[in-house]
Amino acid sequence: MKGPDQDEEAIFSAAKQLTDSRELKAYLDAACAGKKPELRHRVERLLGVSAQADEFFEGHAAAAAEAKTIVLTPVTEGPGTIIGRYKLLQQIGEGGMGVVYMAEQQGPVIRKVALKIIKLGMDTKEVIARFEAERQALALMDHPNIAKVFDAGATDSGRPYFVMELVQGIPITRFCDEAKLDTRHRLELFSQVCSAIQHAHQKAVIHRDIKPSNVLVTLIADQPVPKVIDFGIAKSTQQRLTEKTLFTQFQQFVGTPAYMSPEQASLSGLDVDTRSDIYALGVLLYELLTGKTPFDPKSLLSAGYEEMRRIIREVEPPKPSTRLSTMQGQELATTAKQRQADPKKLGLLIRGDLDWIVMKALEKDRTRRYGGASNFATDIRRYLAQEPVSAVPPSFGYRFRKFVRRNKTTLSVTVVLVVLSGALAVSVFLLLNELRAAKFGGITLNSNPQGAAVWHEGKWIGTTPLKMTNIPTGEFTYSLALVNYESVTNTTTMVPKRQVNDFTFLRKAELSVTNAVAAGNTNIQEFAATAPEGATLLTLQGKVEVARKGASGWIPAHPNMPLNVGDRVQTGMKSRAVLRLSNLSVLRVNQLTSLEIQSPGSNRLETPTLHLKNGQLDMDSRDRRDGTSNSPGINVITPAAKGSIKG
Amino acid sequence: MSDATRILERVRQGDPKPAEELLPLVYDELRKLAAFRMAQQAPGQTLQATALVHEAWLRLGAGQNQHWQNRQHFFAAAAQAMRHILIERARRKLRARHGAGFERVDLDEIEIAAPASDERLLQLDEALDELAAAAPQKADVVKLRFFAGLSEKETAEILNISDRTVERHWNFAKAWLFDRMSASKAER
Repeated sequence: MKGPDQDEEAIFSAAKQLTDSRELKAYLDAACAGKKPELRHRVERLLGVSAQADEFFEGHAAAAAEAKTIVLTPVTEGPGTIIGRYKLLQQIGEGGMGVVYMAEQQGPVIRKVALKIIKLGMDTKEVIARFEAERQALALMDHPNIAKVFDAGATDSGRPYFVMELVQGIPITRFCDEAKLDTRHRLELFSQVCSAIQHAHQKAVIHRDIKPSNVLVTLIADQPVPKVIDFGIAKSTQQRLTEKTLFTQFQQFVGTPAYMSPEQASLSGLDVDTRSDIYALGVLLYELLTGKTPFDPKSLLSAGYEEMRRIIREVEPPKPSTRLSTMQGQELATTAKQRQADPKKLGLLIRGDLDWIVMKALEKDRTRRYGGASNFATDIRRYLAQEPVSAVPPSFGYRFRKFVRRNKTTLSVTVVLVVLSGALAVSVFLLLNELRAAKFGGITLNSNPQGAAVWHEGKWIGTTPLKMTNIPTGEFTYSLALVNYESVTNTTTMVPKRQVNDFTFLRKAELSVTNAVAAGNTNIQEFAATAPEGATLLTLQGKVEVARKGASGWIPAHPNMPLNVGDRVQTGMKSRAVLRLSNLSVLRVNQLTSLEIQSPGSNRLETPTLHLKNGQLDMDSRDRRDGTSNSPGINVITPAAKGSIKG
Repeated sequence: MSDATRILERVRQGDPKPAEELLPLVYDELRKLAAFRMAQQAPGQTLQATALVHEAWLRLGAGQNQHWQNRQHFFAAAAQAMRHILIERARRKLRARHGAGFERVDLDEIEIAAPASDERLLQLDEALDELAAAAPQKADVVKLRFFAGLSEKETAEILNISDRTVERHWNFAKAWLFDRMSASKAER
């Protein structure tokens, strides 16, 4: 087939612009004169399909463009505008997400407030609905270092706005620098911020966006008072901010990567909890002490989104004292001056306990951070009083485990493969035989959330999403199990030579009992009376004892009775799905990173590494620092190996 | 550094081979991305193919200081990958429909909203190959605009030609391709 030639294209392009049919004809007459007749014929044909072609090709392009990015709509409201019962007075700030005005509330009480209008094109109703959900919790907060959030609504132009206590102050970092506060005073100010966050956490409110511009210092009776602002706003607006929409149409990053916690930077959708706030506090303290954030924001942004998140998740930032020691001349001099310190001595001052306090808050693994903002503040207080602090430099064992964790995928896969190879080899052989019959289909298993363990015929075969091929036709039954979600068993029919899809939405496991069941210190009678049918009572007193509630009461089980797939075990406030793999018993304790496997050959559950603590199943972790954290990782106990590999 | 970023870096430094290695990675990334996005959405929802490409770029491209050559390679690869994904799927669906009469329509594991019907996609695929043989730059414009969802301006940047040229190519190619597609339809 001959392709287009220059004439054809040129004439077509020119002709397409002509809308008048007479002009068009005249043009074509002139342009095609003296040329081959097919030329005109072709051009006319092209012109004929042109409209349909446009529709075909352009049709979806618009939709795609829309889906790409969020649009920053400029805020059209200005001083004098009346929004609800607030009258805007003047603009006092502007951030990535919104513009802040000083406004006057007209009634029922006349007072000055801060009104923040969100710039991003968002689903305003959704944002406000989420805010309403938090409103009650926010109203319960009453702390001198927390700026109250009063109200939320929608402007006439359809944008969400929030009304907050007016705080006339400057970001804490700037305040400390301008007032040239020394390290000690900075720490004292910081402790007040911790106290505010602690208060909020006790009211079950997570800030989610702690950064210097959200911690303003204002002067009250000549005393500097830090006030944390924007509570409840991040949560309302942030849920829509997926990775895709964190870029505006100009590819500017919205948000503060320097303050993003590792769990926020991970794709697995781990819930953000109070410990993310602790991380952000750690970054804030780091900045107060050194003038810099643990990761340089410019480097983060220029690394590209994926790389930036990897850095936050995996790279250990330098300790504050190390950071100071790598500063040169002018920078160091300025930093020291702002802290009323001798440039040569500032690093020394911070080295040691202060370093470890900051680094503890910045731990990638959130279970190793401070449990609460008050613990954080306590350590700081201890430091100031020159008492020993709880934060300590990592032990050798800890650093080894971190190494293992970085290489976890390779290690864990090896472990599981070794353990499973016996049984699997047999099945593979059988399958190979069946292959000759050429009656196979494939299935792709997926779930929401992903990462669910897939069980087939009593064996753990992988986690979702899982693509399986060469499955014999006929029925295929499998189970999905994920901690804190109800296990599901599905049966699908396999179709020859087809890849079939199965997508399952998992339901959160319901808490059926609120009483804690702990070995030795809980009223088991009470639990037994109120537990629903099907609940399993697991008590650990050096060995596993199980009882299962049947229709007419508790069926005492043989001690060390193995548990079944889908059993929900009440061990406290949370229920854990228990999984079993024929002779291997797998007990999921923490999220996806913690597993305990026992090898075939031992016919009882070995429990020395399990104990119940504060109503939660805890694994024996030898390097626990403060005595409350779980040790994550894969714990394999085989008859041959002594000890365990912890990743 | 991710694999793709490393390759893009080598491309920028002038190493020609890595461009080939880029395709499977981009392909993989798109599929992973699609699976992830799908997991996040309610059932029945579909994903925009071009939105996926754009997002893949945001993830893999090295941020704000991106050299134009990297973008060229990336988007060329992404457009090709997306085309492959969509065409393969269309082929499979059509085979299933005309095949042994199974009631259930089996889908690829990624539910991507195709920009057009299956038949049209396959016709476009053939016509595009023809166009690529006769007027490669026009075909490139179509690949980037249609499969990767790039704007005229972005396409111009990536192919290193003027906006006007892109406009000319696009206008002509649309009609030319559609004509071919309709002709082949009549022939069936």
